[in-house]
Amino acid sequence: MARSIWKGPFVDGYLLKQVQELNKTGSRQAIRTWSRRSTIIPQFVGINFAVHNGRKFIPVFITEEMVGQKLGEYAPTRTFFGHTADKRVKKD
Amino acid sequence: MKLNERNNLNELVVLGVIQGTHGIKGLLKIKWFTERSEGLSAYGPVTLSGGKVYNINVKFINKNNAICSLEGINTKEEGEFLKGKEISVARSILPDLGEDEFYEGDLIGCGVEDPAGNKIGIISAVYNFGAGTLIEIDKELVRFDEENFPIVNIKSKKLVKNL
Repeated sequence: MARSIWKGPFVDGYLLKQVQELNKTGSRQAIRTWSRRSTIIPQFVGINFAVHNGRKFIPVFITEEMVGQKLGEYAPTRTFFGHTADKRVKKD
Repeated sequence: MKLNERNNLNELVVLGVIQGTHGIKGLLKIKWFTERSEGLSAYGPVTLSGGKVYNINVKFINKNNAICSLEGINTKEEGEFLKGKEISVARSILPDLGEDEFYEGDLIGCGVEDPAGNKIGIISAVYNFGAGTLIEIDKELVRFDEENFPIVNIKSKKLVKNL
């Protein structure tokens, strides 16, 4: 069942504090977090997170399209051994 | 042979592997390693392990396998002989890419240095979990962007990483 709108998005309080402090200082340092359940809110856009996947921290740079998703969605917990033949990658 | 040993343009890039046969007319079940199943036939004739060259045609998809026909393979028995063989094309056949665009297989195995020329490590994997491309250097993940990697030289297999 979807979360009630009147509650607003869930974000761990300590994470929100960290983001607010980072926005004040303007630092570009990544925020290490285990809070995979936190929703990405507009204040997070442009911030580097390092989201723990149970084993290591996955770098996640927040863009506008990610707003509304959870941080954990960008740090998968299972190893994927994919094959690469003609897969292309582009510099961000 | 591992994928990161195939970076040379003269070497082969494995597009898939033959899993078995389908039906009695020599159709083959192929597990594809390309981005899409159509990639199996997109680069022209393919080379099977052993060196034989065949024209390949993707017929349809069945249970995550591409059902393909190889020119000259018309019976199930002929197809059975090819089970387990890898399908590849020469690296040089793959189309040239634009600026700041690279084949994932080319990046894997490249050495990473800092601007002073000190070795940092070797790229072991490339991932994309939805938040941009990530490069794994000795178990550490780094975003693949202009800020982190200002210089990428695939020919000399070297990347320069800002500290």
